[in-house]
Amino acid sequence: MSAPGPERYGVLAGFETPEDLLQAAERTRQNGFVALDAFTPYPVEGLTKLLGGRKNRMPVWTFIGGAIGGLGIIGLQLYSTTINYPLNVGGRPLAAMTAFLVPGFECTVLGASLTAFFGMWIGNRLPTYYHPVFNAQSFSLADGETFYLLIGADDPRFDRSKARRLLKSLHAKSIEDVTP
Amino acid sequence: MTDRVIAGHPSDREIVGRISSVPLRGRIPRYFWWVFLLFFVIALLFLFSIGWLLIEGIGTIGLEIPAAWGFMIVNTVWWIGIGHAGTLISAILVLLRQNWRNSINRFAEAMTLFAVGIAGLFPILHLGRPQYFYWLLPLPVTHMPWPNWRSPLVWDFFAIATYILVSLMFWYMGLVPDMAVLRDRAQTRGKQIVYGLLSLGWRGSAYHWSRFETSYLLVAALATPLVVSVHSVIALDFTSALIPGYHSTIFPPYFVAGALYSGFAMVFTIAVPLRQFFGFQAFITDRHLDNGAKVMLASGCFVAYGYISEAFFSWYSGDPFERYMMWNRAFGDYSWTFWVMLACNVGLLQFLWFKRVRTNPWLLFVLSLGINIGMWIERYVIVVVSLTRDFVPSMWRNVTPTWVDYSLLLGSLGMFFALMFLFLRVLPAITIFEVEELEHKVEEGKA
Repeated sequence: MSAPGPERYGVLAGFETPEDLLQAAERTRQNGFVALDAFTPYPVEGLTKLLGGRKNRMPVWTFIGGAIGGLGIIGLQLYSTTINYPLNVGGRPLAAMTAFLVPGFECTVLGASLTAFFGMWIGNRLPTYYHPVFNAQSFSLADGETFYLLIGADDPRFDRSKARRLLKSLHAKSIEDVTP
Repeated sequence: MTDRVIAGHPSDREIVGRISSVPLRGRIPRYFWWVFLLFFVIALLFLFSIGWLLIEGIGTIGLEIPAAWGFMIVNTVWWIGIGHAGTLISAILVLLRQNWRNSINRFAEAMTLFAVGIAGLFPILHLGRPQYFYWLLPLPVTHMPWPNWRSPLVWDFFAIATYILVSLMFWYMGLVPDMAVLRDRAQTRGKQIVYGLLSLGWRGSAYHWSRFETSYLLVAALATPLVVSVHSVIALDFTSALIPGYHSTIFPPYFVAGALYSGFAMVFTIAVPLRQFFGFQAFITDRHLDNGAKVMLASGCFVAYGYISEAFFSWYSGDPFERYMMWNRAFGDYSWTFWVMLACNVGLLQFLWFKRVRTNPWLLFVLSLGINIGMWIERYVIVVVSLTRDFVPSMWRNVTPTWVDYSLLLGSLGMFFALMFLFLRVLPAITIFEVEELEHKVEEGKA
C-alpha cells in the first residue's frame, strides 16, 4: 500500500449497453481479474458465465424441497389414518392412497415453491440493506440504462490505476472508486 | 403496428419513467379516487354482510335442503376461475416463451392474488361454524381430531391454500427488482424507505439475477400444473358427489377451460380501462388484445364442447335422473339461467372469430363483461339448479337468494376492484425489468 487513503471496496464502471458490459467483462477476465461482479437493470444472458461464476444449485434445492413436502404429507396422512387414529368411515380403506395423492401433489408444489422462493433469498443473501456499491454516486437502477461492472479490491491482481486504465479503454461512461 | 408487442421504440429511460410514474406521482387525477371510493363503499358492504352472516348464522343466506350449496360455492368457483387467467399468463406463457405476456403479467398476477383470496373466504363463510375452519389443517394438537383425509373438502383446502401461497410468492418475486427501481427513483423519504424495504436491498448483481431467473422459472414451472390442479380439485368435489349434474367425468377439464375463459374476460375488463387511463397503449398493444382474445376463443370453444358433451351423455346414459336433470336445466323452473348462460358463453363467443372485434378494445370490454356474467351463471346452473332436483321428488325445492347473498356477491366485486385500484396506485402495474429486456430483444430482432 503506497498512500494512506480510504479503504477501497473496488472500482465500479458504468456502460451504456449490455453488449458493452459483456465485452468489458470478457476483457477484464482476460486481463486476469477474478473478483468481478456486474449490476444490471435486467438479466443479461451469459453474464455470470463471463464473470467466472458457476451454475447455481437452485434446481437441486427445489427438488429436495418438493420431495420433502410431498413425501411429508403422504407420510403424515398414512401415519394419522393407520397408526395414530384409525377411523372406519363407511368401511373405506384406511390407507386411501388415491385420496391422499391430492394433498400429496399440492404439498409437493408448495414445498418446492417455498424452497425456490426462499432459496433465492438465502442464496443471494437477501435482504441485505447495506452494500458498498450503494455508496457509489454513479450507481442507480433508476433509469435502467446503465450496466455496471465492479472489479473488487480483494482481487489478488487488483491495482487501482491498472483497473481504471483498463475500464477506460473499454469505453466506460463512468468510473468510480467504491468505498466499503 | 398491430403485430408489435411494444409500440414505438421507447428507450429504457422512457419505459421506466412511464411505468413508475403511476406509483411515484404525487397526485393522480381526482376521478381515480372517486371511482375508488365507489368500490370502497361496496367493499364495506362486503365486510358488513360478512359480519351479518357471522353473527346471524347461515340461515340468512338462501340455502334450502336439498340445495345445501348456494351463492357461496358459486362465488368460490367463479372467483378461483378468474384467478386462473393470471397464473396462465404469468406462468404458462413464461414457459412457452410468449414474450407478449411481459407487459400484462404483473396486474394479471395481482388479479389472481385478490381473486383467489376472495374465493378462499366463501367456503369458510359457508361453514356452519366458521370459527373452526382451521380444523382442516393437520395441527399437532392432541385434543383435536385429524382432518378427514378422505374428504374432498380437505383437498379443497390444500389446493386453495397452496394456490394462494404460490401466487403470492410468484408475484412478490417478480416485484423485487422493480421495487429497487422505485426505491432509486423515489423523491420522498417515506417512499424510499417503504420501497427500499420491499426491494430487500436488491442491487441487480449478475449472480443474483442468475438465481432469480432460475427460481422464477422453477416457480413458473410448478405453478403450471398447480393452476390446472386447483380447479380440477374443485371439480372433483362435484364429480365425487352422486347428484345428477355433478357426477360427471367431464368436469375437471371443463372447469379449467371455463376458468381460463372467465379469467381472460376479467383480464380484459381490467386491461382495457387501465391502458386507456394510464396511457399504457405502448405496452398493452392491439397484439395483446388479439392474443388474449384468441385464448378466450379457444377456451370458450372448449366450454361449449363441455355443454354439448354434458347434454349428449345425459341423453346417451339412458339414466332417467340424468335425462331429467338436462330437461330441467333447459325447461324447468330455472330455465332462464340456462339460456342466458348459453347466450353469453356461446353466443357472445362467436364475435371473437373476427379480428376486427379482437382488436377493438371497448367492444372486447363489453363482450368480457357479458362473458363474466355468463360464466357466473354457468356455475349457478351447475351448483344450484342441479341440487334443487335430486332423486326423490318429495325433496324437490327451489331456493331464492336473500339480500345477504346478493350483497356478498356485489361486495366481493367491490372488494376486488378496490384492491386492484390500490395496487395500481402503489405498485408498478407492468413489470419494468421484463419490458426493458423485451424491448432490448425486440431491437435486436430476437423477439
